[in-house]
Amino acid sequence: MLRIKKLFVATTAFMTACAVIAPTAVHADSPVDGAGSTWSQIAVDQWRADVARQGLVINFQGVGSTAGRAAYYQGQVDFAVSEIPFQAALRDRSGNVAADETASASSRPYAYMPIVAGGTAFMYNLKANGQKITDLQLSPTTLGKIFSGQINLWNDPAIVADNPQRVMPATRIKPVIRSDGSGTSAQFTAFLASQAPDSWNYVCQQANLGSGCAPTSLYPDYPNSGFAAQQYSDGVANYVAAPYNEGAITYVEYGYAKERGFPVASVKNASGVFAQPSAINVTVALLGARINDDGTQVLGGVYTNPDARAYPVSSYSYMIVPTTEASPFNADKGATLSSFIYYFLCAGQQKAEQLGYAPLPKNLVEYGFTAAAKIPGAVAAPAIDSCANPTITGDFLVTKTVATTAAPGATTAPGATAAPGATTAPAKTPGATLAPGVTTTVVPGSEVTDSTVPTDGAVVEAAPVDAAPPTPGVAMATSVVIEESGSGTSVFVYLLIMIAILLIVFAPPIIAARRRPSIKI
Amino acid sequence: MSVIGQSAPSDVDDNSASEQVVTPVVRRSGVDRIFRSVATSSGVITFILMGLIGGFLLIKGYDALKVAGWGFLTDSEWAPDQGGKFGIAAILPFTVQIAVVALFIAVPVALSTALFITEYAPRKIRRLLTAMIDLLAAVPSLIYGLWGLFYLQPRLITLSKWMANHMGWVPFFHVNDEYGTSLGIFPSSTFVAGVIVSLMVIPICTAVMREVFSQAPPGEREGAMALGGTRWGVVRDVVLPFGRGGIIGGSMLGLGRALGETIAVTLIISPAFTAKWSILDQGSNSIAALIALKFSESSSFGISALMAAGLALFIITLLVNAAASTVVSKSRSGSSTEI
Repeated sequence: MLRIKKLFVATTAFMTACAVIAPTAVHADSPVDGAGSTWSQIAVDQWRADVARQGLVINFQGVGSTAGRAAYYQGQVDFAVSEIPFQAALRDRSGNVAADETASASSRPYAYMPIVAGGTAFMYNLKANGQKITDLQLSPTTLGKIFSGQINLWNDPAIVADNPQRVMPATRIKPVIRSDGSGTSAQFTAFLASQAPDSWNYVCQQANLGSGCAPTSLYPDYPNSGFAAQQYSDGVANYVAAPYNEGAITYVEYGYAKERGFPVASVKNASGVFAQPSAINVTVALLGARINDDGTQVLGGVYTNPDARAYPVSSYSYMIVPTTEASPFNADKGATLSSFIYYFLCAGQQKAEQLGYAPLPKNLVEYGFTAAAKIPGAVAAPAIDSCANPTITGDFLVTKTVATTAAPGATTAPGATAAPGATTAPAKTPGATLAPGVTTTVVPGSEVTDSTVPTDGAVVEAAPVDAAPPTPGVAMATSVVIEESGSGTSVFVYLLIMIAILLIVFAPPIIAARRRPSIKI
Repeated sequence: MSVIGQSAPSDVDDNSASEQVVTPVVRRSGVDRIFRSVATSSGVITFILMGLIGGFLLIKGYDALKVAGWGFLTDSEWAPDQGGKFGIAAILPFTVQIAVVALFIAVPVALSTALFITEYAPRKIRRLLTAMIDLLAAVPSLIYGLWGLFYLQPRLITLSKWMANHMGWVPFFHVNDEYGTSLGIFPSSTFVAGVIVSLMVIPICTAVMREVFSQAPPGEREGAMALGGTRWGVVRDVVLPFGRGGIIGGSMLGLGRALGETIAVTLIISPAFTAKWSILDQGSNSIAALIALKFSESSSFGISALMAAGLALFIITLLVNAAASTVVSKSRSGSSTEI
């Protein structure tokens, strides 16, 4: 008892000391509460920890996008974070309105603003003749066919056409989807609905949702689809990585694949180049994002961004901010919230890549500033040029006309004739497929060959991922380094937790039994 | 949902309490009265809690039930958020399948373990085993789930494959030939989920059964021995008949946990929405897992549908326990050995 008291006193003293030592709060005003997306939570948590040092108190609960939006229109939180905007009226079979988020939200006017960007990667587990395939290339239509269950084998003509560089094995395709509601599903289904509408409609119809159903956080499944569904990003990634799940492919954040040493597919963009979901490719793609008058994103321009570097399955999540002082919001909170927003749109984006996301490009930062200005009580936005966002300061060279396609794993066994995937086509015609003749090959073992093929002013560079420093000015996927340090962390942490709990359970009785060995039953 | 799984068996307690109508002869002192009122109100709270949970689920699920109507019992899809159909026609059978697989493994093992501990084990081992069983019963289900996912699942699927290849003529073990012999179709099955759930059920069942067996009347036990009965004879004619209520009670407690088990099942299964007999191949489901998976991203209507599913699980658990308590009350060990 005494010990607890001591502890309490110590803690209080420590906290008081901290409060005294802490620099005078810049904004000693009201704390702001938010809730929503788990997809963005890592970034939001990092940023709010950063601004906490300046005295800004931002609370955030990762309860899921839908729950976050509901909490917003029910007036429980000041802001929400979501991958998808408020959903229009949802009707059940008899035509009654079952739920109508936009109507519910109209009582509390809001604005959307971009918060953090990321690419949805396609992690796969595929072998040919006992060797891991690391150079899979997929076009949006093929992706649609795979994730709708329309094609069943990896040597389907559609996949073969995308991968002229190798012979595809006759393995069964096993698409792995998320069984829980997830922002990744929302972003991927939005991409499918836009870029592979035939396949998406097929899924919708098979699942009895009518043709052309809306993108959703809950990926539709249907009987005999051949899909496997797993919970959480960790779950799908582990599932695909399991040795017995050869032929599996899933959509997941890039970092999860890297963590497990698994390759992700290069996705064909509008200029016909197969791009990897590196941070720079995502940011470049997002330069094509347009925003509606109501603030919702139009990602069509991202999916079809003509830049040769663009990774098409790129998107960003929203912050939903209030534009009136409807309860529980007020101008004091507005000051806090807007300062937070200016921080994460600018300096905060420097951490995006480390955290497994991609920094927002300038156009989206400007949209964010516009939206933030609508918040009641908002402080003045910094000048756009003084914004420390790496895409604006130039640390993150997206504006340079350099195309990179990182070869996924030129790590195949030595002796392989061509570094797979180091193939970049100078094809400028949109939709042109890669003819085997125009592929540039890099022979491993030789010096890093920067086969530059100048076409229309664009420099196409092929560099194996493992090769030493890339050409200056070309930002490679540096996130690789950071994520590798955490390789196998999750399993290790699980094991630690297990051991700790087992100790807690087993230790006391064993110790107790030693203390009184004489007792007999 | 573990609340439902755990609260349900408590109605067995209340029956026994209500049966004991004792008319007090002695005049009660103040302390007596206070204690009596505290005890009574605690008993009443159990009823109130049950009523509140049931009522809450009914009210929250009413919106969805109104829309779905009888379709809630006959539809096997689950798409309330996309304006599609939703119903428990497939989810409920899957839930029961997992529980049955779990009990199929757990009950014989628990029964044998309990008999070994009470009848055959040397005293020292008996003490150790009893402690171990109680400890295992206290291990959180997440631990079983993680261990099952990372350790057991990859190993168990080879057994699944063997069963599919050699016992495929049994409808439960039949696996669609189209998939061939690939191991990849086995990991997310009812069978794997059921085996892992059985691991959490075994200690609970064993603890209850052991407790009851140890209370078998020593007089009868010794009498049987004196008449020249073997140890097995004693077990068969004294311990087992006496412990019948405990066996059923322990199994039902296990069934309650198996029906409501969430985390382990959620980690293992790949949710399916078409009922099937086969327990070995990919695709299974459970109401608790469904709620855990869909809750965070569901709209208010979707949550209402999930609440309705929860209500179904609640009712099923109540029915099962009610049935069990009638059986128990008719058995010889009856009121004294109820859990």
